[in-house]
Amino acid sequence: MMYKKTTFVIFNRLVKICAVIAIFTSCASYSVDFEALRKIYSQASHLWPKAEVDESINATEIGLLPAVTFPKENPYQANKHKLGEHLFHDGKLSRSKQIACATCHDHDLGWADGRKTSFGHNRQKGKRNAPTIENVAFGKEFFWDGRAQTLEQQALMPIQDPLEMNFTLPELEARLKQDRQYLTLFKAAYGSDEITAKKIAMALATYQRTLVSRRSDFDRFLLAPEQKNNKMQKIYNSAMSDKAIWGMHLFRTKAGCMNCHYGATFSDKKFHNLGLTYYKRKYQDLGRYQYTKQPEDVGKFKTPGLRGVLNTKPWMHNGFFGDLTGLLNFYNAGGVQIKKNNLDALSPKTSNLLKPLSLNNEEIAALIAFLQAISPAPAHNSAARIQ
Amino acid sequence: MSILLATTVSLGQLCYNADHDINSAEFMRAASHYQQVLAKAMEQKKSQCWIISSEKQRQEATLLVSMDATEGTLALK
Repeated sequence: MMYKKTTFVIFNRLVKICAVIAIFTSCASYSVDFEALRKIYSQASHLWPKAEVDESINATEIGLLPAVTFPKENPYQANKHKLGEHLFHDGKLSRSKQIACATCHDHDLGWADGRKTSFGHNRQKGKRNAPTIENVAFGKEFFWDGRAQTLEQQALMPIQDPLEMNFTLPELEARLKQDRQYLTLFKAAYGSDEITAKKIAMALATYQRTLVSRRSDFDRFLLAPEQKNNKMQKIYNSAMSDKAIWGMHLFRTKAGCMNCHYGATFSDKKFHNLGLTYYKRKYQDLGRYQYTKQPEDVGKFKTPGLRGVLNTKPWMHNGFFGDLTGLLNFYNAGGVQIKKNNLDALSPKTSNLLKPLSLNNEEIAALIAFLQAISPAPAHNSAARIQ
Repeated sequence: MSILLATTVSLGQLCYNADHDINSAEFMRAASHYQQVLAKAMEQKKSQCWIISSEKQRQEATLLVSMDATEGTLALK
């Protein structure tokens, strides 16, 4: 009996000690010096704390978007831009005349479509989530698996995909030749009313390159020192809340986000496996492997940019993640760690860049506040500064 | 009665394993019948199983299991 009582007392004390430790740990998470963080991050970015990334990563600092540069082979021209905008919103580019590029890349939905995966011809379901086309001007390879090398090449692919617009390029050319308005638009853009697939692609790419994210709270915060008077400096400096600045700090340090999400667009433009291959399961998607046929590319998908990320729910290549806290919990756990089966050449391997992060709920909330700060309303048509 | 019981049992159970849960909640997007019980179990980090008593529930349970990225948080038994 005595033994039981002693054990009970010891147990009770242990519980109390654990509770005190838990409270202390919890309080510690709140002991963020917001004033100091604001001061540090109000300086030029080269004076910010060093980003915490894997030694294999050469991350460029997050910052303002540069002006858009158009390729020499397809320079900017206002009438070509106008033609591209018209084509982009026209269902005639699909066999059914019902599906336009804008069906899956809708301005009001952050230039995505708000669906888990898009639907195409005859309401057929696609396999992947429609990514936003904001900031494609700064992209390198296109589609989740990078199968298009240029935006011009990319523009014609959904038109010909049987699951999407289900059309052929000769049929499209013939259809547009019957349309007087298009003859006028092509003549204005190219000096001739000859309609070709190449010209369609160039016009669509030109239009898409002008869809650049609006200025975000993060951008305004960065621009504060450049403001000429104190009042404007204060307004710009307060564009980001204390919580968002803490989130930015975590993004750059403890959370390790800059292993992949860096630079002005918050993307390394590379391909990674997060453990969402669903290998040999119903939702299997081999990702970049389907294009490259290289076993090391199984389950890899392009890192999406994060500007405007809150406008483009649901997230990930399969659109499974509709809750941002859940998505950050996924990263907090180090993604889904799948051990590669060496006897199976196609067995996927989760990226080494993903590691458990031990972020607490407050830190996750701060990261969300930062993501909010880089998510202005969807880009206007033609928001780009053109160089 | 016994036939009814047998039918219920034959449709199996949907089981939640809190030890495997990383709180990513991707499968919750498709949850309808199991939404409330799953949310509660996830919040309490409590492993438990629920009887599948109709074809509709079986279809939903199958979908949830197939969406589970961890491959261990949800299971059909």
